[in-house]
Amino acid sequence: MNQTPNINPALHGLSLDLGVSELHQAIHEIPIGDDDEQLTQVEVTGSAGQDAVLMRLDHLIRIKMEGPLGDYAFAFNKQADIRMTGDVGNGVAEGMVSGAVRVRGDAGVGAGAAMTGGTLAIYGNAGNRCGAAMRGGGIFVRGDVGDETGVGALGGMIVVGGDAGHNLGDAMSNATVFIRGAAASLADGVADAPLRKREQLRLGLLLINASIRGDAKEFRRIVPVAMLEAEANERGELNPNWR
Amino acid sequence: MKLGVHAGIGIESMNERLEKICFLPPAIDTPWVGAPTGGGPIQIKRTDGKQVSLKLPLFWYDPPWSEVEIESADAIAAAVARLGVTVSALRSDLSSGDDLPELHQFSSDGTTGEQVENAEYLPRMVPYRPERYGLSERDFDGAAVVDVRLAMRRNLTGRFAFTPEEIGRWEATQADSPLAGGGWVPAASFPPDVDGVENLAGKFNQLRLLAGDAAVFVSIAPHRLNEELPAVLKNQPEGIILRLNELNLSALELAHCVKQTRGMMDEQQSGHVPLWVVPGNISADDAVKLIALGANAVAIDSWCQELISEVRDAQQNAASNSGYSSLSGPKTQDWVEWVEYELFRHIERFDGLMHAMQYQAPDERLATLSTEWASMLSIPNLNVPFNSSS
Repeated sequence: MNQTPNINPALHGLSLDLGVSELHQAIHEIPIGDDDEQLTQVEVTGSAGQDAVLMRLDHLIRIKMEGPLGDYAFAFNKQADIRMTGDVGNGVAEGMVSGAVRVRGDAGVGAGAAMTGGTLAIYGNAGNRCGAAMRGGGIFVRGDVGDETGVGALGGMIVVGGDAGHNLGDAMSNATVFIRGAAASLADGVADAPLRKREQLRLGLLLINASIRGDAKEFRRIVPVAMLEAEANERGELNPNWR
Repeated sequence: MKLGVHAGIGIESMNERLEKICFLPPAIDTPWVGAPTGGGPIQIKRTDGKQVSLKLPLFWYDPPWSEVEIESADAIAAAVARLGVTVSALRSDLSSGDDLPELHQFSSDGTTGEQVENAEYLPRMVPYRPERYGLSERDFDGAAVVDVRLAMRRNLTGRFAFTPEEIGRWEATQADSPLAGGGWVPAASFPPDVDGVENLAGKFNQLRLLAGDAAVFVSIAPHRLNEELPAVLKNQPEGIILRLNELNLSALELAHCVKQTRGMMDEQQSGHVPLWVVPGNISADDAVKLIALGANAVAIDSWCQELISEVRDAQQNAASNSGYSSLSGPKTQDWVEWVEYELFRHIERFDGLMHAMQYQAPDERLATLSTEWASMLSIPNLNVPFNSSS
């Protein structure tokens, strides 16, 4: 019998009541469709603030769920496209490698910490140290972020639709923060600069992709001073030895 | 590179720090019985009841992998682990791209890791630093210990920072666009996704799920032990690693600190929690004495550093003499034999003393000629018919 699941992907239903490892296994046993544009969907129920939910997913699939969830949800996600409604605790999408996590709610501290790729979108506010030590990928926060956003980030991009707390961009290396509102304070060694044309275009596309309303022109970028100096000297975007 | 020919690091060249302490032999009226059992594999119990088994109570805590070529680092790591020493390394320390390091070839969890047929189990620790540079999710597969490092890391310049070489090894950026412009990168103090020490238990639980077969340890510095150790223990780690090498301790201070820490853990109802110590330079005898004083495992970085130094120097010389000459040529067996040659005497001495210690009850294994040491360490002061100060 010939089936075409990629045209009409079935909506699978699973519950967190299965248990962490059983749910993980059940999701990975769901066959993925051939059509990247229309991912197989799974609706996961039973969220009640549990910690460490759906970590290490490595499956090209779309997951929908209603929160709330506790700490470390979706850590080390690969490929999966996760859309959840509700608040999440600390360390959401920690270490994410690829795929996307969209949270229609608030996030705790360390959202997207140590991410290396993929997209984390938070449609509420995020706590302190959002994007800390990230090495790649992008974080979009529609609302405000707390203190020490981007601390120790080696790469990637953080977009803040609202305001930021103290010490924005502390110890940041090749990462960039785009912010629409105000920062309570910038960390030493980073500076506030207008977007260049190519960044406006890039950010505009990324905002559309993350379903965040707004014009890229409203944003400014926060980057290491050394990076700005290198740009000014037309030596590219990097300068030997920043410290 | 010719392996097996070197200056040598014999037992005699390893200064013994705890020479004031001696091992007590059995009393003369001890009945002759068969050789005691015990001193075999050490068992660590996870909070979920799973057991982690390790062949030896020895570990290599902080290998400077970036000092040698990546292929050499992997070969050395695997060869040391083959001796039963638990070796700390990330995949990115030992291989680039998607290559599977030899140290990481065994995975006990076939559902999430890579399994290589007939691979030998090599005990491995995951250094889980707060900033997690270089860490990948695959590091958790098959690990024996996850080491949550809560003590800030100093580099050789004294900064709390990582060197450009370390960052370059972990993140493997292009040579013409190094991270931070090729400068040093600050180290983190505490995991950014944990909201205070009182909430570490959630992080430990997460790591237990990510590393399904590993014990979750925490390493701390000794500077604020009275406050920090109880706070950490409340979160129920499966072991503590005490970085005593962070202080320039005298021999007596080292011994006393180990004994006191064990006592503090017992008072905190954590007598079952293993205490691993990083003592700095020690001999095999010292390692056994530290275990008799209350440690459950001892770091042997000072022994293993000789391996790194020798390979690094040879690689630098080869590069300067002939332009470039890779030293990654020797086959695995050559590395195993060379590492065994270098370390075997230490480990054999350690193993022998550990075995001999089983003849005595735990509180009758050590003694000293020094009244000061006896008093500080609560061990017997030997009554011998000569002036011990002469």
